[in-house]
Amino acid sequence: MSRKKNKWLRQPPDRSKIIFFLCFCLPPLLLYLLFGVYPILNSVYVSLFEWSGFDKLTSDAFVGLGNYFEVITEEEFLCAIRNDFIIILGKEIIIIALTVLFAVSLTRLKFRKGEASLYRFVFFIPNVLSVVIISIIWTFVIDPNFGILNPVLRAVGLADLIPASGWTYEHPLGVITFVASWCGVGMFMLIMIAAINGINAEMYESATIDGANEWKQLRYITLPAIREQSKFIVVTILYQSFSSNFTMVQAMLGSSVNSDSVVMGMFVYQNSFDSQWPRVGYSYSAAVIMLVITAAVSLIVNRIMSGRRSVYD
Amino acid sequence: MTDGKRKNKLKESAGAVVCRQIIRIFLIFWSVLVAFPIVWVLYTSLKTNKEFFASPWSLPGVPQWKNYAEAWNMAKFGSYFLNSIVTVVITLAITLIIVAANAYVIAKYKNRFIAGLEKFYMVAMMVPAVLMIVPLYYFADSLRMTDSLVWLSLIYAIQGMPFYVFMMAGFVRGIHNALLEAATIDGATQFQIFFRIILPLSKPTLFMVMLLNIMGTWNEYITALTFIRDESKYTIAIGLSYLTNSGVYDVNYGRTFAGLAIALIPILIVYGIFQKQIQQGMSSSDGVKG
Repeated sequence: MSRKKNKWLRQPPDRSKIIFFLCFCLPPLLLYLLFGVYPILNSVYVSLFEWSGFDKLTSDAFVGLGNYFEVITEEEFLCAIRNDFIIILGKEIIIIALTVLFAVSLTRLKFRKGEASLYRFVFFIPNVLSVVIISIIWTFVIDPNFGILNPVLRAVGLADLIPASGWTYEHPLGVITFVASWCGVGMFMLIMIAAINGINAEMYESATIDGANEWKQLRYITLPAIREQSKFIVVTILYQSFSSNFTMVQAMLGSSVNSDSVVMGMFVYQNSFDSQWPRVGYSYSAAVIMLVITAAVSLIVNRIMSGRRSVYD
Repeated sequence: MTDGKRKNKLKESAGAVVCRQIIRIFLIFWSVLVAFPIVWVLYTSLKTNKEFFASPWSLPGVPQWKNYAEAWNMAKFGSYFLNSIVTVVITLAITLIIVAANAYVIAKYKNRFIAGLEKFYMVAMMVPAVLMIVPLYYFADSLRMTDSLVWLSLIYAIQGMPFYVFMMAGFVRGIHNALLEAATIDGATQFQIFFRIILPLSKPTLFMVMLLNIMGTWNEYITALTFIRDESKYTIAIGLSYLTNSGVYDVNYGRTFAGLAIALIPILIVYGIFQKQIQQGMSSSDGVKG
């Protein structure tokens, strides 16, 4: 069997395969280099210049690593790095905890079919909505003047929690973290449910015959079985977050961000477009640093979480 | 079965019942947290401004359907809709063909070059999309391609490709090599294998790619915001943020909520119809992990 497989795998590429590759895979690859790699290389190059984005790039504007030194001593950028990690950490904790809780409950606690699928239906709704819609809805919900969150808190006796000058102003990171987690739970829960449903039912049966109670079954069958899936979710959240933090902050706070709420992507974007004097070269140097941080974190997490194996193998 | 054992079993299920009730409270709480803001938007969109400020909770006295007409006319939602549909269709057409073909090649062609390509896409996928937006904007600007929905769609399709490719490759790997071998022995070309065997067999995954792609493109915000400056080319997402931003100046909240509802309702309907496929696809996308 395995010999047969190897024979297929080791086949030298025939002409038909090469033509197929040239037709369908080469053009997207070239476009990918143009849309996915060239921008990065271009950022690295332009980050060595002081460039406003309008005029032509000349050698006079060459400042070497000057932009980099400026960025890493810029307090707002350091705040942005910190804020990114605070949001990511919060998201990981909330999403993993709720995902495991909900997925295990919905698969193992024998809810009626209709009820379980109703939860699945509802929890997934945020995943089909645009970040714009979500951010507008939540901005309205937590609005101090006409939102519905504050009245609810007052009704249940938690009025002390209400910040005097508005949630987005006093706890911007908390708001962003919460809304981002609110979006993520549904999809990851479905992935987790699929993993649990994939566990061989006989394992539970034989465990029951051997006298293992529900708790032991959870501890020794379900949780070990979903470990891989949890790793996948942790890594996915991590590498999605550097982008999605920015999108969420831009959509919810827009130009009203300050050092309490800025994230790296926002710092890059604002310096390129929003400020009165755009400093594109400078923003690119921040972008390059962001890329290095992302890569380092991804590598470290991959190493820790999956040993030698990469996420998709 | 002895009496002791039966007793034990009953006791366990009693514990499970209690546990279920506690968890149920959590589940209902989270459901409310997810669903109520959306329901709130829907019924608030039918209120007058006065009602809205009197009590944000209350249901509308007389439904103000004219809020919808105003949002539709004043914010040019018709045009936003059309632009979004154009973008979705172009993106989808490009995505489906390149994703399926690349998934096939990556899953079934084994040589060093393809392995390298796979690694390349895997690493490239990790790069935050944010970092490409600004350089791509200036690149597009130098080609006079900003405000072009075709260009926007092309960027969506190309940048989204690796994710969908890996999603689908996990599935294509599961197609038996014996099937492909048999076809090759019978003299089938790669094109025939792809169109006659791979595509029909991976229909469910392709459908999932399609749904995700449509939703992703429809909802995409930041790239469109950056590239599209001309209001007549606005997609629904940026049109919506434009509507609420201008809504700050005219304080008719009923109209603003109506605009939000207009953007919300079609997505909810699509999700309602295809929820089975979406959820099924999601669970099959654990092929991503493999």
